[in-house]
Amino acid sequence: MLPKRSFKKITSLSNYYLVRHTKTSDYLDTETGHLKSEEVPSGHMQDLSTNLLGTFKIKDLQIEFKKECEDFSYFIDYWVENTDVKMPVFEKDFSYKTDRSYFFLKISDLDGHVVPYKKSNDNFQAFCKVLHTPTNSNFWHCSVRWFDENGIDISKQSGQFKNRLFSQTRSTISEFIKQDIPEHKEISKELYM
Amino acid sequence: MIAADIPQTFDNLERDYFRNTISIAKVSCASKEEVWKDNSILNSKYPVQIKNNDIFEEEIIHYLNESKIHNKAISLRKKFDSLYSLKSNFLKGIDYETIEFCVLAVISNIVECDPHGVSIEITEDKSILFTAKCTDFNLYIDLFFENEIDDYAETVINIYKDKKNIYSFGGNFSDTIKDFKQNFIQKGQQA
Repeated sequence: MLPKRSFKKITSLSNYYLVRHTKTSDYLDTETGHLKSEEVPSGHMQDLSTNLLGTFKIKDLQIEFKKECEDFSYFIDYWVENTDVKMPVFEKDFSYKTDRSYFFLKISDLDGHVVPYKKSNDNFQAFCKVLHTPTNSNFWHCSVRWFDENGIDISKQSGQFKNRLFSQTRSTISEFIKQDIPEHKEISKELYM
Repeated sequence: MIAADIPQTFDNLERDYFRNTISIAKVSCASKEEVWKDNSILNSKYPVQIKNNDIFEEEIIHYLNESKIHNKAISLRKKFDSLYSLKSNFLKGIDYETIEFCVLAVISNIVECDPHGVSIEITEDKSILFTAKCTDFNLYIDLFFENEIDDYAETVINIYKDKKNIYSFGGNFSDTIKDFKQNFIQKGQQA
């Protein structure tokens, strides 16, 4: 899971799936079958953390870094290319959280998906991008983010329109959730080496 | 058969009462007062009785349809009340009457879409999210109560059909609900 100096960020993700952990196994509402908002609050939609399924396995979702560990902020920080990383230590830096569950998202469903929104009564469009954003503890970390028509990350902008937009994007994510483990394969080494 | 499902007695007065008060399901929140006037139906236990056996079938079907809407609205109202008793702290500082007004207006519009299931959530970011699963589409309505300059609550409505967003509208509460009513519900639930 850890990044290596020889690795490079992956730019072509469209054939793969993302997996995200949930706090509990009953993350879907029983009446509607939709994702409970408490599992993914709209505030998290600005930059939704996920993992690239393949070399990253479902059991890897159990890894939880301890907030009280000395290097917590280092381990969750983004990896800088061409660098090696520290090796985290079991129990000191992380533990296994076995009661987590998970869901899947097909990258090609999300990447490029357009959501219309209003800002000061003008109409705009937000574009979804799935980005490979490795951290110092997880090379397979990915982010689902939303960009405006000028390619500017909307999470970096300010304004009340963000409430509306990220509510919309939560609906989008909810629509594309897959519960069943999809057919998947190891990530081709050519993509990151 | 339909006749077997009808209560035994139903006099004109009660029928008129029923029809007038069920209009909560038809309110497009033109004004807060209008909703307040009508929302008594959601609190009441209306004792429907039919006294005449010669009611035309058309009226019977109309009655049954309205009953269905009525019962769903009451059920959702109860669901919200139960949730609010647990999570009212997430909406701390927001006037309850405003919350109730918005919730009832949203419920009245949702039931017109004849949902199979509805989830209601109160979230930590001072919002109430309604998700309804209907035959041909999924409906999401989000109310945000933190924006003081809006009339009641900033509102976002999204509808997905076959995973495609076929309706999306956001803004102040009244405009958003009215647009939803006029451009989706009244046009046969077509975007």
